[in-house]
Amino acid sequence: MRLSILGGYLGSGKTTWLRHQLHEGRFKDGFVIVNEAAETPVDDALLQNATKLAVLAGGCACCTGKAALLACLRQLCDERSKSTSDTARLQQIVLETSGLADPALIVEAIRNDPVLVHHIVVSEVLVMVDALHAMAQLHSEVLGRRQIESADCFMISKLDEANDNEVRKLLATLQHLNPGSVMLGTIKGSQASLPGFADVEPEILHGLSEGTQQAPIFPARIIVDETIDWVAFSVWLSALLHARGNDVVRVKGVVRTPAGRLLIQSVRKVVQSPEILPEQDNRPDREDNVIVVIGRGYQASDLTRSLRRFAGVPISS
Amino acid sequence: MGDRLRCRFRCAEILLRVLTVYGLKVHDGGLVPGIQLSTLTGDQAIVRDLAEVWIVAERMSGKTIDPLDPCFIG
Repeated sequence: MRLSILGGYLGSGKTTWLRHQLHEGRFKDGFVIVNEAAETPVDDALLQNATKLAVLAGGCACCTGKAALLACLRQLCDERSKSTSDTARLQQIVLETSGLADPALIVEAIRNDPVLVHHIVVSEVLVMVDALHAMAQLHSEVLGRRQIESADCFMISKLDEANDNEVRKLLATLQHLNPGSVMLGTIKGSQASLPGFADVEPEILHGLSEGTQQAPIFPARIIVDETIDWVAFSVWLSALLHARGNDVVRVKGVVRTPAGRLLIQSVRKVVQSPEILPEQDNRPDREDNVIVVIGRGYQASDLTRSLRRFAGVPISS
Repeated sequence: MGDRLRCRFRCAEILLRVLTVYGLKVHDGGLVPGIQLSTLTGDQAIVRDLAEVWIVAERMSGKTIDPLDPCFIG
């Protein structure tokens, strides 16, 4: 079985891309595994075009969720071996990693597994690169660089939002860090052309040692219960991103509003316009009104206290 | 009262609660576009949207506005 690993930093556009590809019929009949570091899965709500889908939530597959991923892959191998020759056998698996994963560690884990090594070929490591934020991530995050180094193919996303010269500089830097990889452009999941960068010098990146790393990024869950109205939430989010936009790397979740179920997403200071999700949902376990905030530099409980203060409801201890 | 207007009033109410901590007043009469910010000394500004509120409020109060500030959530 071929395994395509789709990696990339938090909010770089992995799900958007995968959703579009599934819609177009790529990875047809493939099995999609979505991994999320937070306990509340959000991405799978967007991937309704996938016929076979598993969600591994509550641990990143390259570290805390590694065992769960290996178990899931082994089960797929088992099922495939059991199927008789005249039924269609599974050929393709797509793994969408969490934004905190280092794809190289996942490849290594599969190669070191005595069963999986005989069944699964990692056919490609696709890494989404956010044209708006990738350069900043390369400057400050060890993880951002590891993801770049592990890619076979880069998909440069958000080309329509980024400045052309910055994109050229980014492309030159990516090629310098990982020569030989393929680069493709994408805008909201569909293919787009990349500008030429033959005469552009790569950005000079200073060494980052593990010791000087900032505090680790962690996911926090905020429950937006009925005491917190939609207006209070949006005012709070705008204040949070204004003050902590560099630390709050990613916000995502589904909130019930008078207009319907809204999907909220932000990447650093950029908030995507909310998307209304279908009311019909065949997953009763789906958690609405839970927002996942991924970032650093605060306590998870601070977020809830602050939100309650905005909404004017008593801060319970 | 329309939903839109209700949202504006609710928004102004929340902003007032938050920005009082920083010595600012907030008013939105609902008649003209924009949210009015003022200081106790009479300095005034009208802002268009939420993103602008925080920038202008920081300038008028001379303080950094942070919803996770211990003095705010403590």
